[in-house]
Amino acid sequence: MNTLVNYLETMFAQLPRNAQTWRLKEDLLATMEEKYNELKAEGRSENEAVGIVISEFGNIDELMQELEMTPLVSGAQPRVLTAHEVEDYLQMRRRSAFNIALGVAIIIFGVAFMMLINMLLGEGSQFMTMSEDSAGLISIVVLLACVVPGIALFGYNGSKNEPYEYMQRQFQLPNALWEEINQRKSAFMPTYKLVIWLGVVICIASPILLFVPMIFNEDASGYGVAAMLFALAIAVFLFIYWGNIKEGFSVVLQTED
Amino acid sequence: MISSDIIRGYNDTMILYMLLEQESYGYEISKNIRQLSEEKYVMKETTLYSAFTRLEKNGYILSFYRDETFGKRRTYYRITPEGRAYYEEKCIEWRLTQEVVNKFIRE
Repeated sequence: MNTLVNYLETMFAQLPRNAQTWRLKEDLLATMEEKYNELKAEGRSENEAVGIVISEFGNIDELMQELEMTPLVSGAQPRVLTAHEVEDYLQMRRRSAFNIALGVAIIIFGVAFMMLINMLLGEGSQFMTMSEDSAGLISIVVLLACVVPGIALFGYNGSKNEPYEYMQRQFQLPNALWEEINQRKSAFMPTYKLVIWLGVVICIASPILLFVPMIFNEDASGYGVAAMLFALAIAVFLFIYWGNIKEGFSVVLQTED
Repeated sequence: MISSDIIRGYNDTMILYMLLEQESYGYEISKNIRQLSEEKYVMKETTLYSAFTRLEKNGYILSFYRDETFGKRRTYYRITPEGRAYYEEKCIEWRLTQEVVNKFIRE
């Protein structure tokens, strides 16, 4: 049985590693194993069974043509990435995802803060009354205090992607590394799904926050808007951060989902 | 054993025929083709899976996973209405081919 696995590995060694070839290899192995088991059950010897299965395998070029793949040995070879390069790239994606997500969330927070300050200091506030001008001024200052660092995070982020231009060109992962990253992605997916689900729940439930303050005070609807924006900022952070981590895995594995 | 060059244009037709009545998976299809041809034609593994790839790309079949007993998971294939139409076309084409070639075959 190991002979079959090795044979298939050798045949696929010249094909690029991606989700399609991985699945194809799994399907082929299943078919070959079934054929092998049936031959054994018919009373063939181990060697005979392996021999027949391999003789009926066919020509790997036929598959490559159908998949429109060129063998890796000829012409422009895609760069084979090291574990270190892949790790660097994934970490960079994670950091940049965090920065972008934080940047967007901070900007939304800024708007929410502005509304909150307007409510606290503005006309009709039960805490303190200020002139409309100074309340407006403070809220604008707070808004800018959030928007400026938020935008700065984007800019900081843009300048850090350059060392990873090798990911933009054709590249390939060694077999074992591809499978390791694929496993890591599989381990990450349940968390990802949970987080996205949580984000969706927050989005759906956030309008409830609009109405809660109005139960206590008819004039307090502004607090509701601020609370809803806070909740949405959290949801947006979850979507962007986890979405980008997943995207990073997809780029490395060269899968589309 | 039939040469695979001659039969190439009809590998897809054979696979579609096997899926007309029921969904099936790689090994079962290959085994049924062998049995139906009375052991005269064995479809190579790479031929089979090239055909699956091509048929799916053209929308003639759909692939999906189905859980088997013992926790095994198999890729199954199902024919689409487009696949059935394509199969009918190939049948007509074959009858015509046969008719023409037969005129040049000495009994």
